[in-house]
Amino acid sequence: MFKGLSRFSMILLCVNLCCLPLMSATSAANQTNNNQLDKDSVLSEIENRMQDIKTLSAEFKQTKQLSAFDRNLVIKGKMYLKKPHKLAWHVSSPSPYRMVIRENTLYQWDKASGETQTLSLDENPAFTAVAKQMQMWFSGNYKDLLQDYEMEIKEKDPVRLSFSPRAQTMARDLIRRIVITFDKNREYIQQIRIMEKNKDQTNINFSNIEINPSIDSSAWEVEGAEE
Amino acid sequence: MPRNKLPELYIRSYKNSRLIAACSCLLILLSLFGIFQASFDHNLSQLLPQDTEIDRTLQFFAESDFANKVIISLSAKKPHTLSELLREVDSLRQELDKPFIKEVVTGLSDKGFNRDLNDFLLYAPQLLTPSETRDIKEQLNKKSVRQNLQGIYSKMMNPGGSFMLSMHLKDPLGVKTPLFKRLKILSSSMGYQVEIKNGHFVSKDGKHALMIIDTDIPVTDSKGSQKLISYLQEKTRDLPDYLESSIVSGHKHTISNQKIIKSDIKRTLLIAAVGFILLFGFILREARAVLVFIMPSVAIFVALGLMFLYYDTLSYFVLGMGAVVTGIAIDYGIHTYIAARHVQGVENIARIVKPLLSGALTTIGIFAAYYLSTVKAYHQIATFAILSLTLCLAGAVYILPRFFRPGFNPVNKNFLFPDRIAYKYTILSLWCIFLAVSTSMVVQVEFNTDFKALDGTSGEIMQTEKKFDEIWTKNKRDPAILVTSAENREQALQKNEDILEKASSLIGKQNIVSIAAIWPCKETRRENLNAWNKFWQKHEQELRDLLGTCGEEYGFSQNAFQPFFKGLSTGTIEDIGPEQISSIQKLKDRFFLEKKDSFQVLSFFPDKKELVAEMQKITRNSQGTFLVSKREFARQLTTTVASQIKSLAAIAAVLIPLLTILLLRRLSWAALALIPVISGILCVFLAFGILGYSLNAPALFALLVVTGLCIDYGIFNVYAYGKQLPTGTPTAITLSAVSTLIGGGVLLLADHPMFFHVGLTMVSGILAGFLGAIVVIPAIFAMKKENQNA
Repeated sequence: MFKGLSRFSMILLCVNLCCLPLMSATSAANQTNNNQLDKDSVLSEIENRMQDIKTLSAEFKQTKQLSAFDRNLVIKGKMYLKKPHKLAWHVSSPSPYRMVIRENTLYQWDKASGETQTLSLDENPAFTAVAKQMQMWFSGNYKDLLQDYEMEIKEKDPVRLSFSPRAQTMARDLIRRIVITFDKNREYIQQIRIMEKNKDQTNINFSNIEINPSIDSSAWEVEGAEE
Repeated sequence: MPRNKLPELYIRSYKNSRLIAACSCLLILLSLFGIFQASFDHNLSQLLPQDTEIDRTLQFFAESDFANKVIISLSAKKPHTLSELLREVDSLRQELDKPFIKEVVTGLSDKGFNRDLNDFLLYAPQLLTPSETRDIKEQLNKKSVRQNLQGIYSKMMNPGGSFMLSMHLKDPLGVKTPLFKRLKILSSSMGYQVEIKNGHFVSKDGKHALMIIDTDIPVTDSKGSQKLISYLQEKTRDLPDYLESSIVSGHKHTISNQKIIKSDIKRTLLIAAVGFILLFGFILREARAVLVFIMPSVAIFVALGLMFLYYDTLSYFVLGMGAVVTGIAIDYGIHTYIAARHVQGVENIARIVKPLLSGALTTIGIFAAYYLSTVKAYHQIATFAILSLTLCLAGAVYILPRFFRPGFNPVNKNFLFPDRIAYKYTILSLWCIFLAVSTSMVVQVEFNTDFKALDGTSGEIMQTEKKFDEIWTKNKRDPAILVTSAENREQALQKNEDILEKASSLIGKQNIVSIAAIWPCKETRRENLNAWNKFWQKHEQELRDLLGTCGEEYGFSQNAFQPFFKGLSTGTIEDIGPEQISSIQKLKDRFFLEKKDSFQVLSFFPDKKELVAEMQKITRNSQGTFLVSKREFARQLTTTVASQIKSLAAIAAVLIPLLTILLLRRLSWAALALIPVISGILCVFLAFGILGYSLNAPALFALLVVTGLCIDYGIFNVYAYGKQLPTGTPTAITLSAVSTLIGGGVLLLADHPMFFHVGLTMVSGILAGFLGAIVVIPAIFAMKKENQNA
C-alpha cells in the first residue's frame, strides 16, 4: 500500500518542495534591485542568479489546516539541500521525523514508530521526478516547471506569485493554487501557501535561510538506513 | 490406345487447323476475361499447412489485434532530457489521428491513474476474497489501529503528505492493500518492460519512450499497411532532429516482403527473358526460334488468366513460380522445334509425341501430388503448373511446328559431347564417386520447417526489431496464452476461473497472469461480497470505537474516517461489467476478445515447454479452451510440414518408377531412365550440404519439380537411344536443361529466401539430372553395346 500511496505523496511533495528554492533565488535576484516583475523577466533573472547556489538550509514552520483534524498541525524543523542530488527534511516538532533523498534513494524515518523506509528512485519513477524537479529549480531552468503551472503576479508589494496547475496535470486534481509571498524587502520568501482542492491548506513559513552553507554530513543520515 | 496409333492420331488432329484455331481463340478469350479480375496477395499463411491447431492459432492472431499494433520507440540524443522527449511524445500523439489510427496509448497519465485507482478500490467489497476479508480481524485491536494512525500522522510531517490524506482516510487500516498488488498486472501483462514516468511508458534506463498505436488496418492488408507506415513515417519525420524514432510493426514485414517479392519477380523475369533470347539467338541462330520462348510465355499468361476464373486471388508465390514453370514448359517447344526442322517435319514430331506426352504426364503427376498438401499456395502452384504444362505441350505440338520449315538440322546431335562414349568408364567411375559423396551428404542436411525462414523481411527492419527488443522486451519470449471461450463474458470468466484453479495447482499461481485476479466472475464476486457484508455487520462498530479512541490521541476529528465507513456499502453492485471500470477497461484488449457469437478470456503464462505440456493436459479435457503458444505453434508446423513432405516424397518415389515402367515397358530402360532422377536428388543434397543451408518446405517441393524434369530427360534419352530415333533428342535435352537452368538460375539472384532456395534446388538438381541423362545414360548404352559386341 505504501508504494502505491507514497508515489503520489512524493510527486506532490515535489510540487511543494520545489517552491522552496524560490525564496533564495528571488532573494538573490532582489539584491540587484531588479524591479522588473513580469513573468518572463522574473524567471529569467532567477535563472541567472541560481547558477551559484550549491547548498541551502532554512528553518521552517509548517501549519496544516486539515478538515480531518480537530486542530491545526504545526510542524517545525529544518530543510537542507545540496546540488545536485541531496535533499533533507528534518522535523523536530511535534515528533521527530526525517526524510532524505540521496542520489537514487529515498529514506524516511519517524521516531514514534521507529521504522525506516528505504525506496529506490529507480523503482519508483515518481520519486525520480521529485529529485529531477528539485534539481530543475536549483539549476535555474524553469521552462519545464511552467509547462505544468501557470504563473501569475498577484501583488507587487509585497511580491506574491501564484502558481496554478495547468489542465491535464496530476497536480490539478489535488492543488488549487500555490502562493509564494516575499518579504517587504524582497530578500527572501516569507511564506508558501498551498491550497488544496478539498479546501485543506498548508502554510510554510521560512526563516534563517542560508545560501551555500557548509552542511554537516549527519544532515543526510537517517537512523537505521542501510548505506 | 495401341502404341502405333498415337503418331497417326496426332498427324490427323494436327491437320484439323480450324478446330485448333477455334480452341486457341476460346482459351485466349477466357483467359483475358480472367485477367481483368486478377488480384494477388502475399499472405505468408497461404504457404502454411491447413491444420486445425495451426489454423486456430492463425485465426486467433487474425481476430485479436495483437498483430495489428504498431509500436513507436522514441529516444532523445544527449543533452536533451526525458521531459523534452515526453513533451514530443505528447505532441506526436496529438497529431496521430483517423483514418489510420484508432487509438494511441503513451502511458497511464498520473491524473488518469489516480482516478482509475479510486475507481477500482471502490469495488473492494466484491473484489477482496473471503480470506482477505477475514484477515482484517487481526487488525481490529488498539495496537494495530494506533500503528496505522501513527503512519498516517507521520506522513503529514512531510510537505506533500496531506495530498494523500483523503486516500488514507478511505482506508486507514490498509485493508485494500491486496488490490494494489493485483494491479501490478497492469504492467506485467503489457509484454514490455516499462516504467511509468510522468504518466508515460518509459524504458528502465529512462532514455526511451514507448507509444502503442492501435489501428484497424490488418497486418495482412498490404496496401493499407503501406499507407499506414508512410503516414507514421511522415509524422515521425517532422519530429525535432534530436529525436530518434523507430517503428516496429507486422505491417512493415508485409510491406518489406511484398517489395522484395515484387522486385525479385521483375528481376528474375527480365533476366530469364534475356537469357532465353541469348540462348536461341546464339545457339539456334534463327530469329523464328524465339517462338519457342514466346510459346510458353503465352501459355503461362493464358493459364494465369484461366486460373482467375476459379480463384479470387492468387498468391504472389504462384507468380514467382512463373519463371520455373517457363523453364519446364519450354522443353516441349525445344523438342518439337528440333524435330520439326528435320527433313521429315511433322512426321518426325509424331515420333516424339509419345515420349513428350510421357514426360509431360510424369511431370504433371508430380505436380498433381501437390494437391495432397494442405498448403493452399501449393494447390494454386499445382493448378498453374498443370495448366501451363498442358497448354505448352498442346502449343508445342499443334501450333509451333506450323512456323518452322523442315529440311534443316540446326545443330549437330552430338555437338556437346562428341567423344563421350570414348570415356565411358571414366564417366561411370566419376558418377559412382559422385553418388558416394552425395549420399553421405543426405544425412547431414537438416530440414528446417521454421516458417520464419520464409520471411523475406529486410535486414534493416530485423535490426530495428533487435534493438527494440534489447530496450523493451530484453529478448524475453512472448508468453503463451490460455484462451477460454464461452457464449458470453460471464460464462467465459467463470470457465476461466475454473480452469485457472486447476492450472494453479499444475504450474503454480505465480506463473499465471489473469484478469480473474482483478475482476473475478459474478458468482465469485457475490461470494466475496457476502463475506464482506457478514464481516462488517459484526465488526463495524468495533472499528468505529477503536478509530474514535485512537484517532483522538493524534487529533483526528470524530468524522475523519467517515469515508471508510461509507465505502463499506459502496461498490457493491454486482451487475457491473469490467468495461465500466476504467482501470479494467484499459486491460480489455489484452484480456478479452469479443467475437460475433462468442467471448474469449485470455490468460498468460511463460511459454516454457514443461508449462505448456502441463496446460495442454487441462485444455485437452476442457471444451472451449485452447492454448496459443509460439513454441507449440512452431512444433505443430514442423510436424505437419514434415509429415506432408514425407507423404509427397513417398508418392513421388512410387509414381515416378511406376509411370516410367508403364511408359517405357522395359524394366532395364526404366532403370536407366531413373539415373537423372537419382543424380538430381542427390546433387541437391550435396549443394545444400556444402553451402550449409537447411532444406525448407519450398525447396523440397522444388525438388519434386526437379524429379519430374529429370525423369523427362531420362525417358527422352533412353527412348531416343533405345529406338535410335533421328530426332535430335540429346540436343533438345541440352537446350531444355539450359533453359530450365536459366529459369531456376535467375532465382539464385532473388533476395527473398524462398525464391533463392527454390533456385538452388532447381539449378543443382537439373544440372546433375542433365549430366546423368546426356552423359551417363549414353555411356551405359555404349558399355552395353560393347558387351553385346564382345
